[in-house]
Amino acid sequence: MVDALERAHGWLRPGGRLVDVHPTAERAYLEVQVGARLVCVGRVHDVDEQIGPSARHARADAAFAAAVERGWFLVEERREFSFRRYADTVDEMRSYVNGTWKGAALEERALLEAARHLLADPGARLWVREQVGIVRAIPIPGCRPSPLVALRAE
Amino acid sequence: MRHDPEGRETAALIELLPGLEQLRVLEVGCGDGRLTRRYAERAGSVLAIDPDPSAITTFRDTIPSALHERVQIRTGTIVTLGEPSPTFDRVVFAWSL
Repeated sequence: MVDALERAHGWLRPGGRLVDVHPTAERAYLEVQVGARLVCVGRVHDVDEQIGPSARHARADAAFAAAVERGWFLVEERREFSFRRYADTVDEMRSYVNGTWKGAALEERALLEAARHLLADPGARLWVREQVGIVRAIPIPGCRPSPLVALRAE
Repeated sequence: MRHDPEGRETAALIELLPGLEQLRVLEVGCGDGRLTRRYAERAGSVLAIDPDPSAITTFRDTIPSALHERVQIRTGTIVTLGEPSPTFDRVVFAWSL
């Protein structure tokens, strides 16, 4: 990851900008809107501590912090926003998260709770919510590739 | 599944990627192009790369015709792209770091 950021620095023209978008290490939440009420029914869990989303996003945060610490980039702007993915049914949500998110799964108890709300109120809406960070950074001129990258280039 | 129908990601991108006209963008980890579609029409040109061939195929099959000339789609990573040279005005890591 740090290597990718160093290469990104090399691809940028003077005056260019790096923009990184990735979820924060905070776990994703399964939520149901029932009328005006928002119910958090559970979370997405890392079932594999190495490749689960929380671990992956924490590593991405650490890589970006390392790139800043090494003087390659200066953070210019930073924002966070909530990113929601909606499903029409609990089965669709289970299939999506458990089938496509690496190393992650929804708690069955949370899905049952969501199903109960959807049955009780056909107008209820189901989503999984992630907190996402977006950063714009300025490449610091004069940074040179590390000896490791220079060696790989030979 | 419906992803971000509220457009919060688009709003954040527009805020942090202003003035893309005439600029060259490298997007790393474009996947099926979900993020690319949100800004590419404002960019001068985009090179979008991803290591997953099936995602790249989906992107190529679904990219709007209005973006064909502006967006180049390639299978690969920022490592396989070759040795860096100052080519791009913006590098975007799209949920890929």
